[in-house]
Amino acid sequence: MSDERPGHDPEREPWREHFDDLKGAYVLGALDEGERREFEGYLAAYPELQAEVDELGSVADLLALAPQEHAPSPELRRNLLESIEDPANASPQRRTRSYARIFGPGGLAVAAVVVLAIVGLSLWNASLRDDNEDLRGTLATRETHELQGSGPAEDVRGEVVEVGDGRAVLMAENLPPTPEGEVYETWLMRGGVPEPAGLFEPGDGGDAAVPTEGSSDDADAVAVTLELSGGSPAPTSDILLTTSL
Amino acid sequence: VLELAYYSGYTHTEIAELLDLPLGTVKGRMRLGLQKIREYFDTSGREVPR
Repeated sequence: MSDERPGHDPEREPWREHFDDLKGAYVLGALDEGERREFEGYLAAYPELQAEVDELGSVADLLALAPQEHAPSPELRRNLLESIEDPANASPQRRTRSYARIFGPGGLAVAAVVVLAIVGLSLWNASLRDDNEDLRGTLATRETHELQGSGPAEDVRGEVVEVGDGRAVLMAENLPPTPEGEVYETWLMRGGVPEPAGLFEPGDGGDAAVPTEGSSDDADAVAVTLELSGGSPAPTSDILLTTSL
Repeated sequence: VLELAYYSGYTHTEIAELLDLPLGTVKGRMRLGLQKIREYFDTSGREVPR
């Protein structure tokens, strides 16, 4: 079943609570590799969530300012001052003397910072405009396809989200743990022929959010099977999850 | 919990083991800690720098 509403609301998605659960640890860099990939899978499918992650990231970045400041040791201070006063630095000072006369002592540095800030803000502004246009494009082209589970994956809930430009993300909940020595493998079906599209293992609680490898453009369906660790060039077991694109 | 994650680079699972706390508690404290930093900035009329 396909849900082509451009406004498919991530707030009401069943994985939203899990996403919120991981958000703090993600911005602190405290997720393990699998969880980090899973989290980035949600972000790839729903890029509009990036803004709230960035906002929380700004809060986490304040921690960098938290450590108490310490005065340098006398030796470090002496070394620093010596390197600043090194005669090798004399010639650049001569070159900038005429500018220094115009801007006054210290003014040159302030002027340089202002120029850099203006250039930086202009670039940032342009980049934000591009991001907004990209996001609008992504939201307009997103399509969600509900996964159907069978066999041991009968109770799995999930979907494949096509986010445009041939990119798709498979998201599933309640996946059974993989047996020892096996992994889940995703397949993109084209004209009935399966193409390997990536391996994954569910996180704690059986959640997964994984971008498919290879373009989903012109693919007819996505399927998931259990394969031996390392994956297979073609499926060797029954299809556990599938959806038509 | 924030210190162990941000400065020491432990994952939330490692922090839970280290402090002998349930994983859910560690996640909750991370959320609460970040929320408190944000509230501090909000109540003191400052904006969180981006």
